[in-house]
Amino acid sequence: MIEGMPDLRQIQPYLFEIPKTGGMLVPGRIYATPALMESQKQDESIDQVRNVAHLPGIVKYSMAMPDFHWGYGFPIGGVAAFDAEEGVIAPGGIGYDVNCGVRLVRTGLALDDVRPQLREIVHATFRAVPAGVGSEGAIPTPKGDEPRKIVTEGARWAVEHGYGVPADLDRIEDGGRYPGADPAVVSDRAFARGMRQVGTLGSGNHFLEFQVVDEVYRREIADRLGLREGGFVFSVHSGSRGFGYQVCEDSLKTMLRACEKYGIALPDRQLCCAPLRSDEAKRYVAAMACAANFAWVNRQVMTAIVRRVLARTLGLSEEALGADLVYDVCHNIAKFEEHEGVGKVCVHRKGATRAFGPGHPALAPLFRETGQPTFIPGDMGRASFLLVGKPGGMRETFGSTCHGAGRLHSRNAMKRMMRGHDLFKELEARGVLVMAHGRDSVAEEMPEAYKDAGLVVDVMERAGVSDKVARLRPVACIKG
Amino acid sequence: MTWTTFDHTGDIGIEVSAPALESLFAEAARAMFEQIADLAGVRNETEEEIVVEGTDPAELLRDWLAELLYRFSAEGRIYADFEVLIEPGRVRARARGERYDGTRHPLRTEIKAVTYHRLQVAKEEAGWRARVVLDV
Repeated sequence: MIEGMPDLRQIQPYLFEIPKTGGMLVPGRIYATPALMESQKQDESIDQVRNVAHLPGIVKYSMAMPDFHWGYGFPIGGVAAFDAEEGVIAPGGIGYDVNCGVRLVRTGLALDDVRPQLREIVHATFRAVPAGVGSEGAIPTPKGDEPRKIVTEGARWAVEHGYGVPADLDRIEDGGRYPGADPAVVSDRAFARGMRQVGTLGSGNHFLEFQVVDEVYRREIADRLGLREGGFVFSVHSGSRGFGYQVCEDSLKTMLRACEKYGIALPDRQLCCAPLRSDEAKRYVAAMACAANFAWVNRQVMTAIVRRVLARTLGLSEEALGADLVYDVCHNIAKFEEHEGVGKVCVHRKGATRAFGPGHPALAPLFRETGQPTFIPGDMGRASFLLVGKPGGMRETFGSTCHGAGRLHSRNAMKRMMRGHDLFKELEARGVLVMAHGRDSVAEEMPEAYKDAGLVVDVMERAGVSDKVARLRPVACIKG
Repeated sequence: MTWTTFDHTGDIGIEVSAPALESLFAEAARAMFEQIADLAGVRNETEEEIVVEGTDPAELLRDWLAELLYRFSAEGRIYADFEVLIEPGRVRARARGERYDGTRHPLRTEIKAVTYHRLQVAKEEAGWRARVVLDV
């Protein structure tokens, strides 16, 4: 039992249960160690797990992954599935940054091969990928029919326009295209806000990071994914930018009205939702799909820019560089999936990652034996992890795992804590070269702000949800 | 009229107090733009009339801030001065500022949205108080 939280029961070594009380329709379940649980005692994330359990049609449990923390509406790290017939969809369970996600790209090079040019690579990347507040202009602003194509076709649009290669598409969740996207249900405002931002990183916790493969835990899988110790890799963390933010913003008004119309009582307005069978829900899904596709184009374009920078700086052809996508995952999304015992459900993952186990038909053939790769970014100073999904996750978490280290200290607290520090020098002393557009964003994102991603992924491994394949250590990081 | 920020793990909360609902709306807008950028260099070059409709004061405040955020992110407007009128069922305001210029308006934080999470507008003895959580 955790002191101060009497109703929380530890039911397995890495799993706590919140019994069903009051208006909860299902119990809550939180994957954590007692220490991780302790660290979230002060905020309201546990109440948020309870609140989600009130939503109509929720099946099995309202869950939180071990990197959970206080969000708005849903906790960050929240996973909840809703019956496709009786359930609801809640834009707050997806978030403003629809399909915020992360991808890992390997190269055929070792860190030692690129170390002499590392500083040059980072500077060139910093110049080539717009980052920071309101960043725009990575590629010519799409005009005419292009914006509609971007949001209906997803990553394929990027590949067809020279940003990446067809082989990339097999290595993106759902092939980089959310089906059923309908630009007609998206506001002009979303297009106005987003279209100049294709191929831009943004701000906040988004990053572009160069890393070295530090340790391999499962050699056979790592080999198949093209990773070996000492290998030089990079990752991109960003989402649907202003386009997605506006899609969510627009939907909340509709959903608040829908709650009144369908008589849904809410413990928090940010949880507003609509029955999956309603027109309101169908329109939202079609708009969310557009935003998800925008995000994939965004990450695909940035990847292509970094590949070009690397090839140019190192004087290699793109073939010789071997910068192949390992995998691209979504963090903020709802998807219609079939799960054992519950049938067709709409799984909301808010700051959580899909991690299907081996053999799942949704995976490209390459990954049916390994299980779906997922990539868990740590903080700027410590390690990130490559994982693969396991059968345990399919039984227990709707095939979902954690998405990051999980925030421990608020942005304001970090700015106070880091006052007077030479952040860039301190990070360089830890072996990480950092470039950023704003000092504040570095202060807010210092390693101290986060839990240790190593502890978080260990919980998921011990709970049988996902296995560690490799640990990656940052060597350079670009922030907004 | 004052504003402060409060901690919300991944986001930023702003708390505003003002003697009247009008000044509360103006101060909240100012507080939000202070999170976005350093407003010291913002000149009064343009004036726009902004009308937002709604009945519930909390939702009206959120919608007002969301409208301003849209104008910043899509239209590149930055404002530092607001004159607000509250009429039955709507807010009618004049927002003064200029076109955003990165060289004179150093940016601080990208705000994705003005959330409904724990949104609060309350009348108190000495005036009005509001709490808003911004998604960053």
